[in-house]
Amino acid sequence: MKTRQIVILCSLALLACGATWFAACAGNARSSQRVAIGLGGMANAPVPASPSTTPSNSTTTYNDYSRSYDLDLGKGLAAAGQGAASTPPSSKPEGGVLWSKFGIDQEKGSTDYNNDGLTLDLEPNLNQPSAAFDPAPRPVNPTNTPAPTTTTTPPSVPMLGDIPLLTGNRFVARDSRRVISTTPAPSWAKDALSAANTEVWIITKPPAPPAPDDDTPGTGTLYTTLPVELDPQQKQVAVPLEHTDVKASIVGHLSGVEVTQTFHNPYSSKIEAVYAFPLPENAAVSEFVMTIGDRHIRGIIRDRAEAEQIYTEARNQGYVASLLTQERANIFTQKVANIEPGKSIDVAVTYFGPLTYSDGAFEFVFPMVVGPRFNPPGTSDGVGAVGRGNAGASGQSTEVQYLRPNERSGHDISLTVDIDAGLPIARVESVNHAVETRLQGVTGAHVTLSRNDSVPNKDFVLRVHVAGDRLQSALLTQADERDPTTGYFNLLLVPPASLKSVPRGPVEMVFVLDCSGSMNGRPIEQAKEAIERGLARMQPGDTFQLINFSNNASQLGARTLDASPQNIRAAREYLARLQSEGGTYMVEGIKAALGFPSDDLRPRYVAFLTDGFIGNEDDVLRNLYAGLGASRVFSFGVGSGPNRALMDSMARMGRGAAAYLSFNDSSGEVMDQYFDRISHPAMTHVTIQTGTSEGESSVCDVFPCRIPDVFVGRPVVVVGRYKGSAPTSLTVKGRCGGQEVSMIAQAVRAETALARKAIPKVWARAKLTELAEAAVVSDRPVLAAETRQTALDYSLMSAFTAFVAVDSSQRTAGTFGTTVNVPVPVPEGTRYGTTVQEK
Amino acid sequence: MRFLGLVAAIALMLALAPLRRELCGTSSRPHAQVGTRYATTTRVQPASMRARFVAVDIFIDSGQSPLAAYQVDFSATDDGPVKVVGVEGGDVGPFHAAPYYDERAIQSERVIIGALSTLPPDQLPRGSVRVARIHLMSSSATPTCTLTLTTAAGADAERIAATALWTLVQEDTIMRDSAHDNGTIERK
Repeated sequence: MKTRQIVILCSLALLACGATWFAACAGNARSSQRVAIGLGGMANAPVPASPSTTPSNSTTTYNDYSRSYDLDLGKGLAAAGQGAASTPPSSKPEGGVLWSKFGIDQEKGSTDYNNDGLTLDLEPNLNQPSAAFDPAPRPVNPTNTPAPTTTTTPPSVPMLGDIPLLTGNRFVARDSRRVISTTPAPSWAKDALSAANTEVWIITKPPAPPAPDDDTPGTGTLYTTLPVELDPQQKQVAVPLEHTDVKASIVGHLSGVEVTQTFHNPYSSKIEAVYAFPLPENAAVSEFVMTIGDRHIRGIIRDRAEAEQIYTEARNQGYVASLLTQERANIFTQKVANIEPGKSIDVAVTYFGPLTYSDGAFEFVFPMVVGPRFNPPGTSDGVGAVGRGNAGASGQSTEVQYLRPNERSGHDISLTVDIDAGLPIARVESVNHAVETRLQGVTGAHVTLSRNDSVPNKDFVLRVHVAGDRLQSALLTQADERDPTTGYFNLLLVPPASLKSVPRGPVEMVFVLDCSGSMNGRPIEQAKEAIERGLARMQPGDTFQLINFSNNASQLGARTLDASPQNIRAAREYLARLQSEGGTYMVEGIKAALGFPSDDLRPRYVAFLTDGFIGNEDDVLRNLYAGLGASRVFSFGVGSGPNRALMDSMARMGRGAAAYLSFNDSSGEVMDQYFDRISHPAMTHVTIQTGTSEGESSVCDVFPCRIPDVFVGRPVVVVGRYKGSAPTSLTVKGRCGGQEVSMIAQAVRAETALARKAIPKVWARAKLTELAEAAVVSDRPVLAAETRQTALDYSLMSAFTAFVAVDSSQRTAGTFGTTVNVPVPVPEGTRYGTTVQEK
Repeated sequence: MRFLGLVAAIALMLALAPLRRELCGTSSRPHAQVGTRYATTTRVQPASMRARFVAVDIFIDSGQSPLAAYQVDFSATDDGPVKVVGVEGGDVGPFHAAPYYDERAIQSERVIIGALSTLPPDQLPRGSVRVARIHLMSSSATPTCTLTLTTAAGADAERIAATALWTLVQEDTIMRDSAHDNGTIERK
């Protein structure tokens, strides 16, 4: 009897386990169904016309900027008499549409059975460790990946051409020049390679649905088209971001900026607004306040994952909440949940940052739009650029939606700048926008953006020219409020005037030109003008090289050329022939520029002219770091809204400097300033010590850790901490033209409220920048931990922290509504068709 | 045999527990969430399906003295973690703006806030005035709060006698602290 009871109990236990499993499955199914309903607004990927009918026509719809189609491989049995006569299989591949067919074998490679212009190759995986591949740069590399080292391949592994069929290697489909898709080699490919009658099919498939997740809302795009009487060609798109107000204050070379975004719900149901927007790459974002009506709620800085979790929970329960996350050093995402119909919510962000000084002017920059980025195939953590309403089409972790050329939104921007330069102002110049300027005394000014120029589609660049040659090194100190025995300093290091009297020696000049599709039009013309001027500035004894890249890299000569009149002429002719099209494979340009042997007699200067519209910045910086050697990299950001974070990082890592070439800048002048800069030796090996009289204080935690070379006309900002009493001066030592040089910077205590607030934040932000760039070339986990802790201690945004604010005192009715992305215009001068992905 | 029966019974109970959760929609444990890519440096507490959002109003009663400055130290506890999710200003007046919080203290869910007004005495508030509202995420609707008035000062920057108290706000339904006889209010 007892045994029977035990058996019954055990059976019940087993039944219960089974039931649990069943219930779990049912639960998942319910969960999936809920998600599927929520995703109802998402469109499936486009299915191109059948390749057997119009494959070549279909290729014209490919977008240079991403894999437009989600492709997969299938296999079938080849018909008799393989080749163009081969008929499509009678049964369609499950879950997709047959696109093209190939016969592949180890000796012949792939054979196009459809004669539709597509090719199918096996290539190494981009994400495999670089040690597995040939690191030597190659001038022309149509596959964009170096060949793998075949010596490590076991002889039993089948090969397609030079490439072994190893796990991780990929099939790459192309039309005549563009990569359409990369697909991991399927397990059956090995058989396909050895069987003569097996065809490989390229199959279009709809994108895989996102993983079920109860916390992810359904997405869709909800918009309203309003009548536009004045301009029937354009349709106005209602967006949940109504207005952006920018109030900036400048004191000396420090700035404090408050950006207020007004979100408004013009729809008839609740929404969550999502907006990807830019801020300066060196912005110390330290305050976040959400305003509902007349109530102000200060956001809390938290670990990013924790902040996201809180936001999701609040949103799902119907509370008004906002979340600010950082996707790149200069790209942020603002989310505001549960905006009720007709209601508005303001979110104010405050940041501090140093200004740059170049050739007689301080420059204040406020970026207004994120440029459309190119993400190489295989990238998933990039920044996608998609047309309005195409959420998820790019497959990237961050995505920006763009208005189409015939669309505009009501989102506008107002901006004011209050300036206290601390030096007499000669003039104030706005590079890209119409402004009204009112001078206030000798050293002050108030600048207002003109109402007629309030479309946020280009960087706001304000140059404050100071009178005469009166700029001197400036040292600001600020005691630590938590520990008065320590403090912070902020040093504007102006190069000694004596540098101007030392002429330069011969140099090796490498011009690298971005010829990708995003440079199409005015940007590439302007960049070519600049290089023309650079060629004219070459001197006898100099050598040079001209490299261009888009889908691959090419160069003028196999080696650097003497700056002879014949070679200069040849370079001009080569330059004139260059056109912009294709993707931005910047890594190829980096490798080509830094890869060939260095010249012991001449320092190498690399001038990189690009808009920087890429999503794989870390790859670029990693390759730059690896190949830099003794070279100096100078980046030139071209266009109305270049990727300044990348430009600055390249210059900082390359021990050079960044310059910007807006549409209203003279290409010749910018290049002349560059040559003026490198025409005198820089102050190198710069070190900073406390003045001789301050025995009781010392400096530490100086950033950048490796103080950059100081070029004529180009001061640098160095920040650090001191221990002991505040130093009254700092001694700067360095080398110049083989001589030891030193200079003394006298300290001034920070007196303004802005400076007192800004100095510790700017120091912490510089530390975060240093840690982020170190993390690019090192995967030490301690860097992430230190970044997170520094950001929390100083209440700063970073890749690991985020601001969250919740109004817990009232709950809105119903579910959290529809997620609406804020579409933005492409930057002025950038062509939508060559940069933004449709579907 | 008896032992085997016990084992089988325990196995049955263990097996049925998740089934009960699935079918009834309740759980004695919080549901784990999908990990995130930033979870390498911080262990994120799993969000409970029963996470509650509550607001706590902070009042300072300075009697007949005008209140020009204050600093308070606030924290809350519960069965589970209590997280600060926002710091709001007080009633319309000199303390209406969202106060700044101590960046180090907030990392341990302590809210140290303060504010200062330079208005003339006749424009400063007297009596009981709401100076801030703290927004929290907790596991219950009634977290236990601790409030310490660090200092209060009048227009002449001299310390004044004052008391601080908190009240719980729940979705427009205010529950005064007098309704809770839990003795958790601290006044100085």
